[in-house]
Amino acid sequence: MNKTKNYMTKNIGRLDQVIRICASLSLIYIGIIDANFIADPLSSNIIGVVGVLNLIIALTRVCPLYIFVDINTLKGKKNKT
Amino acid sequence: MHLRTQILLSILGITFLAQAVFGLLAYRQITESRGDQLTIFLQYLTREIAERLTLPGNKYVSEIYLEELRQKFSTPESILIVQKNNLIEYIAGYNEEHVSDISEHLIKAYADSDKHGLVDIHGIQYYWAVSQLPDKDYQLVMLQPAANEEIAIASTLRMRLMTSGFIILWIAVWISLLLSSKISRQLDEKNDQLKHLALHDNLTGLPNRTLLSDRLDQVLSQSQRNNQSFALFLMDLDRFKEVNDTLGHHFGDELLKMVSSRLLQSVRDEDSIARLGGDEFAVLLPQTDFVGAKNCAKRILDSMEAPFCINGVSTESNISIGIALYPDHGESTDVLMQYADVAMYQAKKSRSGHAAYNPGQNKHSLRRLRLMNDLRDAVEQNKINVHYQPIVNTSQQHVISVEALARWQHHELGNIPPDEFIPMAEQMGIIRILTLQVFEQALRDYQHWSEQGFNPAININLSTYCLQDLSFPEEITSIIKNHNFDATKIELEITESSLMHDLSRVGKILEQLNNIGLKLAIDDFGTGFSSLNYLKKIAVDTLKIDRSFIFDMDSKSSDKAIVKTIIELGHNLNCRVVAEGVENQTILDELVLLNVDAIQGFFYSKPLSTDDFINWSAEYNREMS
Repeated sequence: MNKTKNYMTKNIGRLDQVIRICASLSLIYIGIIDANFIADPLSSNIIGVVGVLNLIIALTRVCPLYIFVDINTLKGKKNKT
Repeated sequence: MHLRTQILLSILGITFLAQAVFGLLAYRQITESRGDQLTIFLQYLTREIAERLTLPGNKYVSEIYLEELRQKFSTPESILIVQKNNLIEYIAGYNEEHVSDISEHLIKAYADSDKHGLVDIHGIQYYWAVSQLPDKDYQLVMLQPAANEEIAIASTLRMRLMTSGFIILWIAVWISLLLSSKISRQLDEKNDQLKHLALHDNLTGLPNRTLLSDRLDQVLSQSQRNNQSFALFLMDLDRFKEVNDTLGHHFGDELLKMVSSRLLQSVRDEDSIARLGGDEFAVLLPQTDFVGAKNCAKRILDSMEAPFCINGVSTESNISIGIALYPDHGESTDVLMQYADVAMYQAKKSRSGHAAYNPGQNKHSLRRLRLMNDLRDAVEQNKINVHYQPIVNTSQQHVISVEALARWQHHELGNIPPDEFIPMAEQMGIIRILTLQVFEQALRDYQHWSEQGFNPAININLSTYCLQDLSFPEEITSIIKNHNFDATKIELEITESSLMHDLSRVGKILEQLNNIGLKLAIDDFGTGFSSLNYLKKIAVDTLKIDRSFIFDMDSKSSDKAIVKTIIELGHNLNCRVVAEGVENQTILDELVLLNVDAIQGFFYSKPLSTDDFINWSAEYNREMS
């Protein structure tokens, strides 16, 4: 019950979000937009997909892996009770 | 978080380093082996061609034959060169104009490596290989452009290596995050456990003094900010020491646990209870005024009213609560703690259960608090001295006995009168130890005197509390046995009031003491609201008339009448009668007329230390004889 509720709560802080957006935009650029940057289509596709996924995570501000490893950059040391 | 970052960074660093090293090695190995394969193939080709060229009659290979070869091995862009002494004799598959370039590059390439390699001619990479022709002067060189395809494969390889490296790194980041969070969570848990242990009492699980003072600081600053009041209780179980001594420590521990659970039930959620050690508890009540504090104290007292039933034994335990209020009584935590302590002793003294701090009694109480602390140390370190006051009989003027009196020389406050510290010792539950110490010391001193030839009897005072303790006679017996002492030489002095509580119990103890051979004297006779009923129940040997009757007996006829009556009563009961507090000759004469048996008082001597007593005694005996 609690766990499912957790999946909906935001856990990405503002700084974290900015870094993620920058990183994913550059990944999308080298993976999808600039085809010459990486000659190999498989590699560029993988990098592009990673970039897009990361961008979605950054925009929704919900990182499932953060829940898994119990990290929350939104409120700092919130999980210290 | 700091620790977590460290773990994370170290795991990441190791992963990154390992990945870089392995990636680089793999990349080099793959590209090298590709190049090797190509040059080996090229070498094979050159050797093959060179063999063909040795066919008889064929000094040079013909252009047509070369074309055949090219098609056969499908190497359309390859260049064949026949050299003589490093000079090009013949070239096939290349523009005549650039021949000089080729020869220059090849010479450079020969210098770098021996028989095969990679050479860059006009921006095109060529693999090359050399074979010796049968004629020693001639060599066959074959050049094969490193195909675009090969270059593309190499770059794809590099890209995939990098992409997979990127993904591996990404996975490693998450694994290290997971690991670091796991490790740090475990460490946090352990830390919390340790913190809990350090800040809580083991027995009851309540916060300890450290945590209380921390919370007190918090509540204090909060109250200062919001202009609120709060209350601090200090509580102490009455007679807990006795419970511990008589029923055992285990019982005492259980009692403390039950008390703490009752305390928890009778306060609000926001109040905190702490155990300060021993039987001392504290309650901190934030946002509470005087009325609220009083109500809470009443609730706590009510909760303690029902008896505690432990292992089938039920006992009652009263609690005394001292209340200090912020900001009415004090504005700092230390002061509040101290005042709550003072109030607690006021509550104890008045037996009212709870008392708020009363500034009027402060001075007295602070001294009292300090003395109580120091008294415990003094008793533990055996620093209570015993002084002796002689009792002289009237008929022969002999010293028939001495009264042993406890004296306390405080290191800063000087001489503390026994009227002050004896009740404290009784309240603190250390009177029994004190009495036993006095016993020990008196018996030791007595041995010293008997070596010098004095052997009066010894009178030792017993507190009411000692007479409640069933194990007391046994301890006295063992001390007397240890010193190999004649028990009949000891007279115990008890007050009338001590016979008022539970006469049957006291009577039993006195009987046991009497059986050992100890004698019994009633001290301060005539002041204790006595019913005289006890005189027929216990065997009394001596009555000591209280000094208050003796003082004024020469001026007040009523006092004189009382003294006379007591002496007659004593004699009728076959008791010896001793007059205390005799200070001058007139009173002595009157007492002798009234037929008193013995005299004690400043007229003969004040209480003396053992050495002084020996000197006094020697002098007195000399005077008498």
